[in-house]
Order: sequence, then C-alpha cells, then structure tokens
Amino acid sequence: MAIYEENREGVSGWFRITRYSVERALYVIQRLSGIGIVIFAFIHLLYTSWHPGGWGDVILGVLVTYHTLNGLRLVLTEHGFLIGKPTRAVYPYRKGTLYGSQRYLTMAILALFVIFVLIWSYVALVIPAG
Amino acid sequence: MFIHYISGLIILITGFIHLIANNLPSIGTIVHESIFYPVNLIILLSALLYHMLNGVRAILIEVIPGKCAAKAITWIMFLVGITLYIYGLQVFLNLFWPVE
Amino acid sequence: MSTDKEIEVKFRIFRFNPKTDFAPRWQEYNVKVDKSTTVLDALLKIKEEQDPTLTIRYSCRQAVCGSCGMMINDKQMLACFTRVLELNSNIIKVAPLKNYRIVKDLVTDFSELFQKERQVKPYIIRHDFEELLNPTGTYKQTEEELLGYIQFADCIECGMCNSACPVSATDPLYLGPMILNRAYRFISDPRDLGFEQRIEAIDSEHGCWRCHFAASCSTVCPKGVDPAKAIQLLRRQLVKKAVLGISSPKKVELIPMAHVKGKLELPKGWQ
Repeated sequence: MAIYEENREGVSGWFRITRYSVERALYVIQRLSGIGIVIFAFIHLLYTSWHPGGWGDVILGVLVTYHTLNGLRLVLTEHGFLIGKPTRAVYPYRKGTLYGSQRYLTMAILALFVIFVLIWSYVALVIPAG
Repeated sequence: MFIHYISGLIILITGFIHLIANNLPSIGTIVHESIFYPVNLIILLSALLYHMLNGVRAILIEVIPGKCAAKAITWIMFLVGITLYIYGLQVFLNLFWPVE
Repeated sequence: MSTDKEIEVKFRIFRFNPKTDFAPRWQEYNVKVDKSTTVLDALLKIKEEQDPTLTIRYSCRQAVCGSCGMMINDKQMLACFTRVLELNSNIIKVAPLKNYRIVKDLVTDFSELFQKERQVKPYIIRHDFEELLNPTGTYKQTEEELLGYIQFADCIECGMCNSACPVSATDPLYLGPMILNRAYRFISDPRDLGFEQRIEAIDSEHGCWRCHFAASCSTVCPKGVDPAKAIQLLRRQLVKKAVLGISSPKKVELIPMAHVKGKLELPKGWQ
C-alpha cells in the first residue's frame, strides 16, 4: 500500500517527544498554547465584554505566559544569540544548542514562568475583577 | 517571518498595558480617560491579528502540502485578517465615539 | 571465538516489500551477542545464519559513510555505531528511517533528498576562472575563519537529522536540517562568493523559516555537527542581508606557491 511505502510520520510525529531533548517538548507546547490563544482571541474580538471567569482566567494565564516567555527565548536563540560559537567537534559531542548558555536560558525562562503564573492567578482569583 | 518576531514584541508591550488598564483600578482609571487607551488598542489589534493569522498559516502550510494549497491558504488568511480588522475598527469607533 | 559471556537477545525487525506485500509485518529472531557486538554485526549474523532475505544497507562499518541509519528502539541511530548490550533492553526493535520512502525492509530511498540538495548548490562558487583552471597558489585562511565553518563540514550525510525533524514529518517539501547545514557551510566559507545564488532556495516558503528550533536534529547527529546551530546562524545572515545589505564581498588572499603547477584543459562545452 502506498501509504506504508511513503513512510511519513504525519501530525502524530509532532508529538513523539520521548527520545529527544527538552526543546522538542517546549516546541509542542508552544504550538498548542498558540492555538488556544487564537480561540480565545476570536471570541473576545467578536463579543468584547465576554471573559472566562475564575479558573478560566487561570488557564488563559498559563497559556499566555508560557507562549510569551518561550517566544522571547526563541527571538533570542533563533537569531543566533546564546547558542555558543561553532567549535571543532570533539567526542563526546556537547553541542552548543543543547548544552551551555541555551540550557541556562531555558531554566531561567521556566522559573519565570512559574512566578508569573502565580502572580496572574493571584490577580485573577483573589482580587475581584474590575 | 521577521515581522512575526517584531509583532510578538509589540503584543507583549501593548497587551501588558491593556491588561493593567483593565484589571488594576488604581492606574487603570488614569489610562482609561486619556487618548492613550484607544491608540494602544489599535496597535494591539493590528499586531495581534498579524501574529495570529501568520501562525495559523504556518501550521496549515506544513500540514497541507503543495504549491496551490500554499497560495490558497495565504489568500484566505489575508481575507480573514482584513475582515476582522474592519470589524474591530467598527466596534472600536462605536465604543469611543457613539454619535457616529 | 571470544571468551566474553554471550547473551541471547531478541530482535524484532520490520519486514516490508512494497512490490509484493500488502502491509508491513514484524519478524522476530534470536541472536547470541557479546559485549562488543554492534547492531550491524547482529543483522549480518541473522542474514548469514537465519534469514538470507533480510535487506540492509551498509558500507564502511566505522561511522564515516552514513549508509546504515536506522530506527533502533524508536530512536535514529547508526547501526554500526551502536552496541547491542548498551541499549539495555531485551527486545531490540529495528525499523527503517522515518520520513523516507521505503525500497525494501530496512533500506530507504535517498534520491529525493539529494535532488533537493542540488537546489542549494553545495559547492564553492568563485569567479576567477583563470586561477581555478591554472592554479598558481593556495588561498589563505586564519584559524578563526576555519573554526567558523569546520564543525558543519563534518557532516557525513546520513539523513538521520531529516528523519528526526518534526517539520519533515508533515511537510515533504521542507529542505531539512541536512541541506540547510550544507548551505551554511558554503555560505560561511571565506572563499565562497555565491550567497546571492543560494538565497532563492533558502529564503522560500519551505526553506529555513519553517524551522522552529525543536533541536531534535542536533540530538541525533552521530558526528556532533549541530545542524540546529547552522540554521539559526543562517537566519542571522539572511536578516543581516535584508536589513543592512551586503556591505563588501569577501576578499581572500592568494599565497603564490612556486611548486604548484598545473594546467587544466576545459572539456568541450563546459561553462
């Protein structure tokens, strides 16, 4: 059958994250959070006064802060900053995009993510909405 | 593609101001009265529409292969963008200058 | 005969012949391995002793040719570079590389890939034909200039990075990290003057802007080439060109060497 011969993974290939590095999982969650924000933004544009109350606000906060912080990391690394200079490849290979400054940046971004989600949830749940 | 990054940064700044103006009453009232709020909202609307529709376009182009499909998707996103922009401007004008 | 302890391990191998079979099947074999047996050795043992119809592709058996890339336990690895007992598993699953057309069993078809590679002109482009045909010396490069591209020149073109990339999983026209790595190796070489000729292939809908930095290509590369870094540095060059314009073409110095003598004749019809 031609589809077995073609041997292409398809969309399910995007979600195979178990044998690769952490950047692959970050990429998948970036896509999913982007789609979530698109759905929210459409509804908010068409009915301006609607807002998901309470826990809906917390979920929206998680999606927006993750997408923003990972997006900032991508703006920096996708133009070649903080991924290390090219050197000679010596075994065992510690590749610049996986070790070194890029990992520290990833850990800093994830720590900031936790802090901002807590701040957003505090504002959404504790302070009565205006 | 480069504009994708710049629009993302613009959304970060203007969206932050939008959220603060709507949720924190202390600073919010100052911003609401002035001319700053509608200007901020228009910039946010443009950048957000571009970033969103370009992102959806990227995902669709990867999933549906072929040159004709790529052109069709670009045109559809462009038309959706223009429609939503005009709708947004019209809501916006009704909100701030309700006489018209 | 080696005196190491031999352990019996079970292999589950993907069998599929597109010309005669309707659907693929998995076949199991038991092989005795010791601590230095590689997956390639085990497959050749199966071919010799148990099933001569198993089809594999291999050449150098020392990880420099790039022929034997396979999915071993669901991860892209070179068969000659992986020891069976280091996988720490009782069942070893062997399948052909994903995202390439299957020719038979474990052999995949790379012809489309190399056809795409010709679009980025993977050779040095210079305009001083007189010097190239009748060389009188050698071009000078400092150590710093060499370090700017030597890591990306180590690529053995095994195709495992294209197989691991999530964008290649859905988009058959995407160039892929292997080809973009090659393009960057030539663009950043101080002797090359052909940046404008390659831009159309790289700056297209399915060129370097479809990469989203999932870094799976660098994770599976067996030679430490880091194609993800090459793609990000390539984007920086494209943005620099769009924003600032090419400031000055590269100048590389020629060191005349008296003992380099040669005179090449142009074959008929070459241009």
